[in-house]
Amino acid sequence: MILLNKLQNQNVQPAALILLLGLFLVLLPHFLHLPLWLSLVMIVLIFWRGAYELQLCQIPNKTILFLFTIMLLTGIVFSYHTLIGRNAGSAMLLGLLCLKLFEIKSFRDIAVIINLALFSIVINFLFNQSIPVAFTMLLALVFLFTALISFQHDYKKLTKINPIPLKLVRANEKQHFKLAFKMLSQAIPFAIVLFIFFPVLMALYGGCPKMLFQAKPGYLIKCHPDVSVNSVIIPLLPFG
Amino acid sequence: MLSALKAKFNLQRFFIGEGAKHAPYLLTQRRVYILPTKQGLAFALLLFIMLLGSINYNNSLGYFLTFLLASLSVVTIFHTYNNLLKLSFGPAICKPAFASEEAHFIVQVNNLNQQTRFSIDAFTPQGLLSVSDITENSITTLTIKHCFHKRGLIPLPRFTIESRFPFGLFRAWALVEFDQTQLVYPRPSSDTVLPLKSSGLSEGKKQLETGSDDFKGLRSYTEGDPLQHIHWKSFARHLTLQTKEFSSTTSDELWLNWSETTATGIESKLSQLTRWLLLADQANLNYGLRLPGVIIQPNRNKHHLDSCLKQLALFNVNEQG
Repeated sequence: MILLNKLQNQNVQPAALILLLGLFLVLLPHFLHLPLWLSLVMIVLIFWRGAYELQLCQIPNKTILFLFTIMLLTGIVFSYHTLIGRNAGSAMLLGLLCLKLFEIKSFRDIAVIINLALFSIVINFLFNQSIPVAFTMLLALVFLFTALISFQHDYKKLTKINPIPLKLVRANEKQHFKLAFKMLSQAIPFAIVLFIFFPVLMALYGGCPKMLFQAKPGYLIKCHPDVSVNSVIIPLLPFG
Repeated sequence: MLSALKAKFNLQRFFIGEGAKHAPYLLTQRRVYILPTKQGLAFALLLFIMLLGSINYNNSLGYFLTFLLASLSVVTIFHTYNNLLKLSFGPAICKPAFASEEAHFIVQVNNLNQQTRFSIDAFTPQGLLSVSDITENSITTLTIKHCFHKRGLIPLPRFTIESRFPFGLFRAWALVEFDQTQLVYPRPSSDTVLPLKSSGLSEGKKQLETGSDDFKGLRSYTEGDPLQHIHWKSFARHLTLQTKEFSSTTSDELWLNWSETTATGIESKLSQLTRWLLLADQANLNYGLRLPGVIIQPNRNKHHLDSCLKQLALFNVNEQG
């Protein structure tokens, strides 16, 4: 009930909550392979930011944030005995992404968070390529892009440039959600075309790399030793 | 024929637009440009890394996500471009402004489509930003802020209409310039006192002048008379407007003279006179203006102030170039 009242408050930005929801969906499958403590820390961080957006609490200052970062990295080193590689690297990226939530100052930070969230989706697929995960990620994409549209729409507010809105029609988040959904559905056909034809391209170029280099005259002699050296190829040799 | 073609493919259009045009200015396909933003380039880099990762691990869902995001950024191009297309800009309404002060000019915007345009930025080369949304099928106005540095009849500056909606990956923009001019008054100097002593007050000659102290009589309304001096009762009776005249002994004609300015240089003299005019108007004095070659008889109303300021704004403008 209190939450509902808070949501109707003018100062609360629903876009931020949508971003957190999208991020949570992205992280959901990661919880299966991350150490339990890290999963809990990330959930706490996301809910902390959400509570801050609902004006229920404060966010940590820079010093505390720095300490958190050190602790997080130490924890990852203890769990994985390293910071690089697929598992430890992705754990570090996801942990730092959650800490980045407390460092939003401009639209650029939002864009960085969303881009990293998109990257985490790919990391997700490295661990788990099941159909439910794929659909969860599709849903997360819609939420992330809804947040991106909302923040882009209001980014002047974020960067503290004073606007003169003569006739400011503040399109609500529902409209942004519809737009994000519409754009994603417009993108899907072309994505399917690329998905089908990219392996063909890969087979043409990636599958037989030597073909790419055969045009050089010097190689021609090696490939076809039976061709008479005297006749055609000699003039090309200096360029080989 | 050839010159028309040359004009069409002139690269300058990209940077400075098509030059001053008569309003209304419709944003057609040739007038809207679009390029990726920094964020868009970062997104392209991200896509490239995603593609490399997918190739490296041969991950089909990774491929699909990369391609989905790639085609999404292609879809964005159309949405961003469409956000500006078919907007029509009417003539600008420019009120006179003072030099070196932030001025506004108002441009009518005609949205011909059934589509709301979000986050439309408008700014002049100085970069003073104003942002607004434009509802579907409507006529609204954009207020564009600009600071004029020189006095005179100044051509309206070129302004940029820009949008990054919806994702900020691309920036679509159009350059709009009208063949209109803006009257810019000189910058008021920092003086605070009027040259009252040497104002040509005819001493001893206590003739009654129109002032604001005692009621003297009624005369027919002339344009520019203050509203509070209109005699509404007689208006109700006679159906003609009459103005109450007041007599005052204290106020007299104040002549603001070019020769009395203490500043040196034409521009600073004009600045000083501008400030004097504003002070005299504030004090509700009966003032006149004497410039070399121009004399404006004393009067007191908004109209009078405007015409005096206009004289100052256009003083010697041709010689200045």
